[in-house]
Amino acid sequence: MNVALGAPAHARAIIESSEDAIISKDREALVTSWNPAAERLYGWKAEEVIGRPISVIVPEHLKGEELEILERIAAGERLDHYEAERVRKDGTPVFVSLTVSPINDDAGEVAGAAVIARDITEQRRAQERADRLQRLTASLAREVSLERAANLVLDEAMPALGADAGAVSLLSEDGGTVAMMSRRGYSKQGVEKWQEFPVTADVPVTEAMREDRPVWAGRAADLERYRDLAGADIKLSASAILPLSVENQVLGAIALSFRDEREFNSHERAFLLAASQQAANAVARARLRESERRARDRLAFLAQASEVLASSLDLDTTLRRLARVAVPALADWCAVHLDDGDVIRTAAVAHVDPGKARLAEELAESFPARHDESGGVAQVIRTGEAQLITHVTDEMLAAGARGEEHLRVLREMDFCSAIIVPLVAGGGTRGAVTLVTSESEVRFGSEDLRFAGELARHAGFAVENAERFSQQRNAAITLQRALLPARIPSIPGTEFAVRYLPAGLDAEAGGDWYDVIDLGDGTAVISIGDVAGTGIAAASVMGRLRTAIRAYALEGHPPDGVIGRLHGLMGDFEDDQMATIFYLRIDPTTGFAEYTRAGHPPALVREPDGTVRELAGAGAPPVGILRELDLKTATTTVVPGSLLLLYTDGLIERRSERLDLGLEQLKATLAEAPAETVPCIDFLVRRMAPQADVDDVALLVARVKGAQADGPA
Amino acid sequence: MDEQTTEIKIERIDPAAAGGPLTFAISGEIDLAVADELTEAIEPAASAGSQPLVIDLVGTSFIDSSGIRVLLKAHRLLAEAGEQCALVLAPGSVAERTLELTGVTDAFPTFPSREAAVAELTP
Repeated sequence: MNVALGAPAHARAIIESSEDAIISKDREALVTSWNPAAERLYGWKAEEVIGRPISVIVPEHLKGEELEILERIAAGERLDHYEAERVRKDGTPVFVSLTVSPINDDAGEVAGAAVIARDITEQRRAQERADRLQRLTASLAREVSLERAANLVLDEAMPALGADAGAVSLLSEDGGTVAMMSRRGYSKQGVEKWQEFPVTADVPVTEAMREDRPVWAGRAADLERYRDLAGADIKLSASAILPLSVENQVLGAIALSFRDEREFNSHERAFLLAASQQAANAVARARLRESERRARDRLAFLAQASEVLASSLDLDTTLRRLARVAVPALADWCAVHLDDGDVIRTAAVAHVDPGKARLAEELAESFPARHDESGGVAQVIRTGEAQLITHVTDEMLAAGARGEEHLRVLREMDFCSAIIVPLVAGGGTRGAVTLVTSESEVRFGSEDLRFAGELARHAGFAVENAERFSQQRNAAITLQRALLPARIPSIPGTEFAVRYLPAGLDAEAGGDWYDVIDLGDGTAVISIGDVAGTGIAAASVMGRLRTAIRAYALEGHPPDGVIGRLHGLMGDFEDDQMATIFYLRIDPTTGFAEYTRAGHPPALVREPDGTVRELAGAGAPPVGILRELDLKTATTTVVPGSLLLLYTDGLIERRSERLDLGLEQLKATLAEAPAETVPCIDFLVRRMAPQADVDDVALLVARVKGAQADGPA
Repeated sequence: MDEQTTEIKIERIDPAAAGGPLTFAISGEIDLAVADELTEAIEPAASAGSQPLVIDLVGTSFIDSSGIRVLLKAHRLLAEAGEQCALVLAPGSVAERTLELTGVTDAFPTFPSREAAVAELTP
């Protein structure tokens, strides 16, 4: 029987034709009647279900709820528009609104219940979509990153349509490439080639972007016409693609994919359009914030960079500082390469992660860039054209690697995006600046490329300045060298060794000199001195002083007479110049010596027995500046077999340390030095010079052999 | 080499008694970086030549040739005006040893304390 118990004929007709499912059940909850609408709603035929428990349409997790309803009905209660989930014969869920009324028997007892059920599945879905849209709107209204916006829209859109996979892709700012921002459900190998692709690729996503309209591909056949989809992910047979656009500007697209073919009804389409509009607005806002933030960062960065680039005139120091300042402001990794002719030299490397920094240095050492490479740094140096690699793929690494080990290190570096810009200085490409992102997963765009170019131009100026400085410094050193005696005259009974050590890189050449003059009467003059100040000016004063000393010495004046005349000359010609001098005249046959000292530390004598003494007499202030200089001459005897050491104060001067400590150290070193002049001076330089890199140093070692050495050697 | 920041403190002490010396007490390290600053402080007083000068280097921990040049210049300017210039040097200090080794102390009267210098230069 297919109708309610004992219903009159007209009532039966109504029940049979009702759009709503009408079911009755007895006190034991066994089905007693089941109309055609119930058959359509639940999928069970009346004859299959009558006499069976009503619980066949109650999902497992709601069995308890059904018992409660039965109890309430048994108590005579009636339920109106009770919304419940039921299950179809095929197992799919169905949402219904139930009206349940007790059926009384003749005695007035509850004998069963009549159930009217209306399918509200679509209503439910509509409600769910409305809820999701509202939630999405609320969460996107907050300040979210591009990636978060992409994730949020997938969170809501995929379950709303029951999608099996979904992705959000963004169009690059220059509109040329599409990069996947976030994805769910696609197989790994299926998406690898879609991480980034040109907008010209023939796929539904690019079509939606190019034409700024949704693509509804409900059947596998709809997808067949896209050439570049062939072999992509064959398990998916339906897709819906919605462009993300704001005011006709396309920013990206959302793609939803389905395992089975399906229709997209108007409600679903409306939902996706609304969701994608919200997402597009969020993406536009996030991009704006991002670009504002970057603009701010960049201004700050350029200010910092120009300061840093101006802070040293040493090329390598400048480039190291440049690399350090670029990380992490611009990139996770920065390398600066210079073209040194035969080789491409890695001048600086900086990495945001100290562990990776070592790896980066290892990479530069083991696999230096080479001119013969087709791509990368070598190519940029060769062509002078910048390169932007928005996404560094594994294929690129494999193609560029010089072997298994190289590839392993390259992979470990975890490249994401890279920019290489030429470093132009003095009208030519001198090297390249490489910026790489890894950890941050930032993708460089054309804006970054322009900025990196700007930075490289600043760096180019710094390189030019450093080189100009280095040329000037070389000129000063060259002049200095030219003004020193080209050779030491050979004087019977003596042997000389001389050294001139320019100061460290950051300092300029100074005005130190040494000189040996043969007076032609068997005696010799040894002078050493230091003009205060640095650069070409000091070097040229030094040249004039040395010439004047030579002239006065040859006139035969005693030491104080020579230096006194020099002082007078300086008062006339060298305004405000100052120099220290140690001047000594010696007769090598007897070892008798006269000397004077103007502002200069004592010379040292190492006796044949190894004891070291100072020639500390005849002290006077430096020449120049003072109106009158009270010079004296002291005498000493340098016995044959002694070593005589004259030097300028750079050899013993240490900042914040007493000058005499340096002098004591020098005396101790001289005591240990070899007896021959050349090994002796090399020993002194090796032991003393490393600490003395802020000032120039001139030194002279003389060995007095005495009269007996004049015999046949 | 990294940048060295050199700072000196120059204290000017006017004479307590009429005809007494003007004193400059200099503390810190005197090198090329601060030589101009020192010159600007001392030279106007030295070239005025109206009173003797005491340069107190007790607080000076380092002095190089650019500092020596400033001292010599002050000495010359005062000598031209017939005035004296004295140095105060802490016995055994870096400054004292440096100025001795370079013969500078031979040109100046030197004193172990400011009080002694001022007393000597006050008529």
